[in-house]
Amino acid sequence: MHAIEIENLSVSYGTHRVLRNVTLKIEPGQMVGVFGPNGAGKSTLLKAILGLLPGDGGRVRLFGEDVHAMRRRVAYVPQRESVDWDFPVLVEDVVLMGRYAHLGWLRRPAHADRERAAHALQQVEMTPLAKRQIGQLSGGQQQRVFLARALAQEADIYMLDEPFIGVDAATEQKIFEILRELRNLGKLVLVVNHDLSTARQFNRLILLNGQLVAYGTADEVFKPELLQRAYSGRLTLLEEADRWIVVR
Amino acid sequence: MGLFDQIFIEPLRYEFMQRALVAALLVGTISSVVGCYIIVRRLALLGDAIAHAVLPGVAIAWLLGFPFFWGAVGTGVLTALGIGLITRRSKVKEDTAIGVMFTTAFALGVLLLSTDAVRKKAQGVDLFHILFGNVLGVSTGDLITIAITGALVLLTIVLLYKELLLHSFDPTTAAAIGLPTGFLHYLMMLLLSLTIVASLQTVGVVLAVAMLIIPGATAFLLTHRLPTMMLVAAGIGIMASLTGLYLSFHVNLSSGASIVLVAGVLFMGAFFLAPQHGVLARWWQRKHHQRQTQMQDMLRKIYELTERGTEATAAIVAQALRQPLAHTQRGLRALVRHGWVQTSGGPQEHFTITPKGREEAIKLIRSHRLWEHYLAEKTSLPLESVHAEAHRLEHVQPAEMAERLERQLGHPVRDPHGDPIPTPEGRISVDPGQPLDRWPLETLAIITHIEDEPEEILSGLLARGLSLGQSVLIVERTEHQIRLQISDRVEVIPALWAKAISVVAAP
Repeated sequence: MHAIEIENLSVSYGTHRVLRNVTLKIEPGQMVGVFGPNGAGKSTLLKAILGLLPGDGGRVRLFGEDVHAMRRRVAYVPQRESVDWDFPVLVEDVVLMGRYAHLGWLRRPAHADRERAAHALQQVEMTPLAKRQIGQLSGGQQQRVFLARALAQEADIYMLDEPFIGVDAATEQKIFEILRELRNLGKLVLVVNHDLSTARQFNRLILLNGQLVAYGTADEVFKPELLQRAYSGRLTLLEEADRWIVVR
Repeated sequence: MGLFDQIFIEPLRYEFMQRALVAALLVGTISSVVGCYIIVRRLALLGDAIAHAVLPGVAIAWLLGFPFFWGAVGTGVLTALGIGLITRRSKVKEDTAIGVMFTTAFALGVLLLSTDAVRKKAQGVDLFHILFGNVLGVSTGDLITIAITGALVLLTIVLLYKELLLHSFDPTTAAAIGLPTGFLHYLMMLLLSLTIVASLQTVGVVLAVAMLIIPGATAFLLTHRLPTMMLVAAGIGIMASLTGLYLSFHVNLSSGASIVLVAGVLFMGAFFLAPQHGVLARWWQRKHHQRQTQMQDMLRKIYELTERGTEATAAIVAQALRQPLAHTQRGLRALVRHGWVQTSGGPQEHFTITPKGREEAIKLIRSHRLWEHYLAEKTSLPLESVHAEAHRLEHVQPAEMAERLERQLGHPVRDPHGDPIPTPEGRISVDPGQPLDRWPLETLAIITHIEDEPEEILSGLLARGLSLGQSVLIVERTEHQIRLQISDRVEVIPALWAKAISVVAAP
């Protein structure tokens, strides 16, 4: 069964159409990078999959079901800048929020929930900072905390929106390492990214530019004519032995 | 009767004062707790708007003869809905929508309240009391309304803590896991309206937002967690309400204004005096760090002078550090007070380092050289810049950092300039070598050290390929320059530069 099945999806903000007729099927057990220029609708695609934006048409199914029935099985990591880091909340409180998806109204997190959150914090190597207010962390550490929150949710689909912005190299490596582990456990990992140099880390790429330009392995997607279409000539590709050089 | 009784107990003999006290306590608590959400969600302006928008509701309720409470909540919630509608359905932004809605509603309220029909029904309650509160006029019925409203509001906040927390902190994720964010937002608006209406009697329409925001803002400066922030805010709200109330009783001031002013003073207190983030605390931390840095620099210089056998007088230290003499003298006194340095006293006063000071100096040197090693090896910082950067870091980093660095670097014995790195016990175990300008001609030598200051000489030497571990041979030496054989080429350097290089005989 497909983890994500998108059929003919279109999304508009007001009169501005951001995504046009996207049709896409994604299998579980993969790490998918979503690439495209600014305004290509990368974040919009994630939000539409999450059912946060009313689509103009088309539909999204997760494991064959409607999104609303699947919420607890989808973990989402928003862009770091989307939250106020001065918010009076500790690192461990944020990670515990990952458990909320499994808790009904009025239910308090149980001991088992706290243990899962603590374990997630350990996975991202942030246990010593559990009692810090989140604003006292560096960008990389904040991103790790967000990832830990998603891990605490124990979902089947993980969606990350630009997790590598303002993040140190060690954290970037650590995040990739954890995401690969998730993929090896059969989870689907979807990462919005604008830095093409990380493309090799993913085993499938989605190339967007308002519509779906290409979906496939790096070799299938990184063709000059496809990149040309996605970035409309704003970047050229030089192939060299076993790697590409992207020139803006 | 004691002064305490006179100030605090005596007023309570009046029944109106008892009721006022209970009302002030209730409102101080509820407003402050709800206010915490308003602050973290940055809705202060919306709170102000709703407070003003309850005015027409009060007038309409009087006119139609039902409890003003429901009229006020009604127009408050309607205004919040209207603002939401305008923001979503037009390109007008929220702050503008707020400005439009609340001034219009407020004007409508003033207009209605000035009509004869309303005034007749209001039975002596005047506009001034609604605008600025009249806590001394609270009736038992009012009190019961405030108590029930408050209990409802606080209960909702406690029960929905988890949902409201996630929704306030990260609304996108809240929506992603299926929380009804629209419902939560309007629930918040309802709680806000209820709280404001409950606080009308004590502080009035105009100042209601103050009791929502000021205690919470004060607590925000002092705490790191929402529940703690709410508790501290409630405490501050209660304190302000009580103090303001007694003030207004004894000095015969407007009760609402007194309460708000006390809250404002408490906020200013936290702003200046907060233990970690207060203005004073930061200023003091900066000062302290500066002073410490200067003292450490001075100690290190005295250590170096002593090692070289130079007598460290205030003038010499001042010159070596390129700083004013008076400043240096003050610093030296502080070092003596710390027990790091001893003074000889007398007219030719000079300073010697104590065993304790020596230990401290070596610790600093160790930290500095380890940082240099780290920066040169693990970062892309050019060698000319590592000294300045390490100089900054040696003062900032705690002592155990040095041990960790050393472990991570594999216990280096020299820094990138070739200076020996002392052991934690302060021992220096490496042959320091001899200056190159005194090295015999035609004898193969290995560079063990290059001075890191002045920077121009260091970068000049580096540019000519002279680095640590490099073998060199002096071909010719004149008064002004030295010709060096470096591997298969010959370089000429000024004689002065050779003093910056130490060498040992090649094995």
